[in-house]
Amino acid sequence: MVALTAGLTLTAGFPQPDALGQDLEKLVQNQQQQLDAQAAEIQLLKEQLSLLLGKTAQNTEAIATKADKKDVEEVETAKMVVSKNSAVDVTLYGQLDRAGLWADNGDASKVYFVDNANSTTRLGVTANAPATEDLSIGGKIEYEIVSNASTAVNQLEESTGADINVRHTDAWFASKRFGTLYIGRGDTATNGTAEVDLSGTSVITYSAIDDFAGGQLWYDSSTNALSELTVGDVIDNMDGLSRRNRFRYDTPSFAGFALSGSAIESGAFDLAARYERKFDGIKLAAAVGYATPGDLKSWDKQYSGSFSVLHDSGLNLTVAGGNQDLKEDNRDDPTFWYAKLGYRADLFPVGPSAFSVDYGLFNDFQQNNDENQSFSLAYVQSLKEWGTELYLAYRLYTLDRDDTDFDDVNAVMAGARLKF
Amino acid sequence: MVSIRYILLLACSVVILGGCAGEEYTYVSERELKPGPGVFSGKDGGFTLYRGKERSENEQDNDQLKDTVEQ
Repeated sequence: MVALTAGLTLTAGFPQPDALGQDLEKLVQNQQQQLDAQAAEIQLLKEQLSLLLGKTAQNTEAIATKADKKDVEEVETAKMVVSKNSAVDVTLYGQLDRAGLWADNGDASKVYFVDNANSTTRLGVTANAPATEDLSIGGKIEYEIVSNASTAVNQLEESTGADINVRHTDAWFASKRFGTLYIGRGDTATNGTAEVDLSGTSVITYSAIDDFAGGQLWYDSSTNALSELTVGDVIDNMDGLSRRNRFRYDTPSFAGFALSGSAIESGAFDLAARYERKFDGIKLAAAVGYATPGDLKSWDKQYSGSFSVLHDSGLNLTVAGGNQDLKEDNRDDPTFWYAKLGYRADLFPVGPSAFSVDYGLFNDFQQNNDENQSFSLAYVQSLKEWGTELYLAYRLYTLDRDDTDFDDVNAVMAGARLKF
Repeated sequence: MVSIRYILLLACSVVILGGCAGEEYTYVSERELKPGPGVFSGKDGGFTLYRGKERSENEQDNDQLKDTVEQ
């Protein structure tokens, strides 16, 4: 009885087992409800996040599609370099032009690894900014980086080392109405007047035929001796005054015509006229130049010119010529003639193909009665999407000089030009 | 041999006579940097270090993306 009473007394301060269980059950139910609510909230948040990510992806794609992927990439590019002048464009550019050259001068054959002097390896930066509706201001710094130039290697010097030469350090002020003024080192007015060429093969053959293998030494069969005379010593395509430190002015183009003139270092001057026009089925380009070299050259005056015509069928013709008035009285005036017949066609899906055959005649360049003839066959294949041209050409040089019997020089060049 | 100077003068005269017809184009020597795409630079043919004239267009695109995300 006491035990029962004690037991009852002891349990009097505690909830009865059934009540405890109910409380626990209630507690568990409450906690379960809370967990369910939290789970529902988490699920809702997940759905919202998924929606947000989907929207972001759609927008990025829309922008990339709307503006061309190039523009999306340019967002990143623009952020890498900044300028206080928001209107300026600055571009880094360049090309690599490397080839294998095989040459035989009648005495020895050799293979050389060269930089193709027809269009050398180079690197440059150009900048341009519009100042007004009419006027833009720009500049260019360009170097050629040449290791083993094809005009330098020969039987005695297979490796001529590397040269870095300035081609352009030039500023310009270009007005649509008044023309363009150039200040610095760059093309003189007559540069290129003997080299107009629409054949598509000028990366390997053009009027400056000595760029192919001009370093090769002539071998004199009459004395069985290698001469010190190179192929390039007896050839000159009289292409004006090249690139110099100068002021140059070009008129605006009118009906395809434009005139140029430059005042050049060492008292030299030159003038040029150019013409570029497209007619029904025909593209035409031409140039003529006149130069007085001051102290730069051994001649008094030089006239040169070239024209090239390309028909829609792919057939094309290029002709160039030049004449110098020498300072020496007892010398005949050097002259040259050059002609190229070519054909361009889309033979392969990778890009256009170009073929050409040319002939050049160079007289009295180094001494009276010198007659240098040259002939070439060339093939250039463009890989258009890759900014690359593959080329293969053969060239023959002959020199007819009094009291000598120089063997012909045969050369083959194969290589590639890659535009950066 | 006919002087080269007279031939050049004749060529100039022929070109002048035909000069008023046709349409303009710009001759670019293929021995200089060829127009068109480059191996590494892609469609531009050069690496654009800075392009000022399209900068404002890119800034507009950035603002548009920001607005859409905030919605």
